[in-house]
Amino acid sequence: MSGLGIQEDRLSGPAAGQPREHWIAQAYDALGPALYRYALMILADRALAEDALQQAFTRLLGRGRLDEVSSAKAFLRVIVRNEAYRLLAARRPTETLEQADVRLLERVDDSVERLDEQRQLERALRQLPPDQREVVHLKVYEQLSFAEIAQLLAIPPNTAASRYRYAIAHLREFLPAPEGRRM
Amino acid sequence: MNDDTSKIECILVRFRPAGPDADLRSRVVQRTRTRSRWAFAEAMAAMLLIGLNLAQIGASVTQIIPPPHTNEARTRQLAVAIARLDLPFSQDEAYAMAQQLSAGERLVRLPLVHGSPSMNINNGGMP
Repeated sequence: MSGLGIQEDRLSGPAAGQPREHWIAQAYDALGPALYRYALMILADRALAEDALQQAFTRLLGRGRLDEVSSAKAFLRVIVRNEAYRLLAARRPTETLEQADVRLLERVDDSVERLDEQRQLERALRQLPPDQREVVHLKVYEQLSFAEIAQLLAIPPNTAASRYRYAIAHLREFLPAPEGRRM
Repeated sequence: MNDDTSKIECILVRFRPAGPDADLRSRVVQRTRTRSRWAFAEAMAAMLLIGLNLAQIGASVTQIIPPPHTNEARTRQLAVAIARLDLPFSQDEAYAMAQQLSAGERLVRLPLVHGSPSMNINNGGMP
């Protein structure tokens, strides 16, 4: 992404004369979809994930000194995370997981039809607490180490690892084994 | 990580979190554009309010600050002198003017932002 001022590990403000909305569009192209997936896994709600992402980019625009940011993705991930948990806290208690938008996952390989499996996994993921779902996302889909997850979430590495273990144990409980037994 | 963990991870990696709708990009950009306009409007409104407040404070500063203690005898003396000038003032107005003059004599003379020091002396320190 040279010339855009936005890279995975480097973020600088808009170039002189560059309209800010162009810069935001470029930032979105570079980082938006990944951040949206992260928000979606925390919130398990597409509408709220969109809100979190929009708010994050609005805050990014309002930030005065972008040159101080060393890692664009890490910086935006923290904003998205904060916004996601703020939205979770503000969500009305009457809004249950069943009411939330259902499409949480997509198949990596479109040639294989795994609709039942997808629905079961989505249902199982929705049963997890957001912080466990978040660790699953960071470990499995972003392939971060527990040390990196711990740094991002400001928790000890052992806590990150135990959240992951609990999440896997819950998923094992909720996902039926292929032959009909619990795994 | 045991075998069960690997099985679950195998299931997980067959999928990934769903991506954003195609129109989210334009909505994000649109929102930041709107936000920029609002930020400009907010800044202008804030400046206007500050300006109005400063103007109001400037106009009412003589009411906010209590008048200096004036010499009653000197005020009466000035009131009599003003009344002798045969100006179209009532007795009360002449007395009020005498109070202002008397108070002006006691003001600490500060340099004015606008105008010369001589103006400052001539009008009793009042801008």
